[in-house]
Amino acid sequence: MCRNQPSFDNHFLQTVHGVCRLPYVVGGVSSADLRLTFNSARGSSLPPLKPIRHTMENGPPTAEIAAQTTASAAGAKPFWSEDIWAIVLGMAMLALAFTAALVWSDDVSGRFSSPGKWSNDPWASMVGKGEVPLWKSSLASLVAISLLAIPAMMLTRRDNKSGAPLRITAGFWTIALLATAAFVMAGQEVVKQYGFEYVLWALVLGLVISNTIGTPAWMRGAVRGELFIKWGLVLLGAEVLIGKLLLLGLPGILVSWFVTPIVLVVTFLFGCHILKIRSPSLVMVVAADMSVCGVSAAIATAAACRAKREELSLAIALSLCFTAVMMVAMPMTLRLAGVNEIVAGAWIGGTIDSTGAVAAAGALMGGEGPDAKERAERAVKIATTVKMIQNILIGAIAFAVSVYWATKYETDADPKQPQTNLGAKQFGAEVWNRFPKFVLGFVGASIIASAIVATGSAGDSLVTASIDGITKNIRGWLFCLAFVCIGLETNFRTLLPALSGGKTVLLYVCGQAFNILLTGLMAYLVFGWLFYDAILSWLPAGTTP
Amino acid sequence: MTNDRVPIHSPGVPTSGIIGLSATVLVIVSVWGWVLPMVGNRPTIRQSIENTQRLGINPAAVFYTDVYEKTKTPQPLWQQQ
Repeated sequence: MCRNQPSFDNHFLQTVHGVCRLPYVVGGVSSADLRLTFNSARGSSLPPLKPIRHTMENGPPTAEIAAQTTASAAGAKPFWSEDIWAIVLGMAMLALAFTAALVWSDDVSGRFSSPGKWSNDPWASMVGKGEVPLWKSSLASLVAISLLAIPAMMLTRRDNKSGAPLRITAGFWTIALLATAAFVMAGQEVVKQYGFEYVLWALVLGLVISNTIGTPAWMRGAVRGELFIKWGLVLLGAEVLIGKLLLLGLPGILVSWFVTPIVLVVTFLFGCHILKIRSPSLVMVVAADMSVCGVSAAIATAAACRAKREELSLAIALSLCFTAVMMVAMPMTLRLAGVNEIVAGAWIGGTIDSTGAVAAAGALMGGEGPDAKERAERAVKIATTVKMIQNILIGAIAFAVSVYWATKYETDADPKQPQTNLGAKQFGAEVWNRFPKFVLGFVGASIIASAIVATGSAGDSLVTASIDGITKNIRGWLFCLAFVCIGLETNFRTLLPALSGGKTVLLYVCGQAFNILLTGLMAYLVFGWLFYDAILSWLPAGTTP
Repeated sequence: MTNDRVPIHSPGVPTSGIIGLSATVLVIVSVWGWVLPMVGNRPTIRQSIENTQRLGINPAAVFYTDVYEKTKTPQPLWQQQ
């Protein structure tokens, strides 16, 4: 069932199969553009051929598709794809961040940021409490992004009209304005307290515009959600520090790395084979979002398995809504049940989707009484460390999913027929062509940052200053810009099919129930029994029970 | 990621679109400008907000590197070792 990745293009798109091998030939081309190009084939004398699957991305326009298709039909896939650009931009930004951290030394903090927290006055989000006002450091982040993004968007423009420098610049800064509004909305203390991250509000603002007045044509050249997401993911790779795995040692790894892949695979199989959800990419994004680490995992997995935008949007919205409930209900239930805060911390850390919500839920484990603060700190420490180890898993999951998709789904061959006719060399070449290359940038950034940290305290300080002071803020802006773009390109009507008649919600609920049970079992086994004494000695003095 | 993109062109903005946008902006301004600040001042919500503030936690963190608001908490919990 899951082998055929369905698409609403399928019923009318017919490819000139055998002439050009569409799914990987036109990687980087939007389905809308493909419609324009290939609809003409419907009325032509070409024989009807089997429908292609939906594996197209944003990219060059109709005017360039013909040239690309011709080139690709001859086997020459353009090297400078969006993935390669994302790697170049991400690595350039990382190099600049490391250089800036070296030059500015300890003074790098606060130079780049995003709008902050506020209670009653939205302008407070632009002022902040640091030496540099947040509006200045936010502007600095956007200027840094624009200096790399605008030339890249011009070089990879879809067509000459929308790719005009003035239009791209105006479009970029309009999207940046919406992204700023999304950060301000997310910064309201109540919104922030319940973990409704900026990506949700960026998506909402984009959706509001596209579904009311429509996205203006002059913005089109700058609406490049894919580029922003992949670029942001390469920067996120630098935050995946392999050494952090050792923080909780074996207990943390047992809970995070044993349970998470099992929950991911079981939820995926359940969604595909039991619920029979037609889109495996939707099932994978929901499964990763729910079992790994919420929004960041959903973004990475969606890019790795080339999920549709509305599938990613739905998975994130679903996850944030359930997280808001779970972050209050779970610690409350565990406290009422009298669960030890160490076990509860591990349970919360391995179960609640969003990373920030895990810490907030851990803090609620304190409850009342004279030792409430210590209990809360113990629970927060265990919960955030388990979640951190789970966060690190995002790299392995994204890599595994991209390889699995490249070999299993990104094929134009008949899914019912095993691909035994392909030689090993041909098969390898096919997989390489279909592989989302930005994942290499993501993994590469992680290896580089981890290697620098491993050199010693100077390396650790350099990476920490670069990430905390620069790249994580830039990454946040890139994800925010990406979700504004996704909203600007999404119609409410396309969100409904992604719900699959409520099956997606059912998938999330069943997957999460399994996750809670399995994580609870492992938390008791590992944190409450096998390694309990070791955990106590690991906790800082003054917080042990 | 892939998608069926909404046609990005607006030959003329329909009146219903302008009304819809204006109404949504009004709702957003009302909720963020009035409702949420009011909700934030309720004792139970205020207490939970102050609790996370005291620990320097950002409940809306996307990744573990975002969890602690370092400007407010000089020593994040995992650096206390």
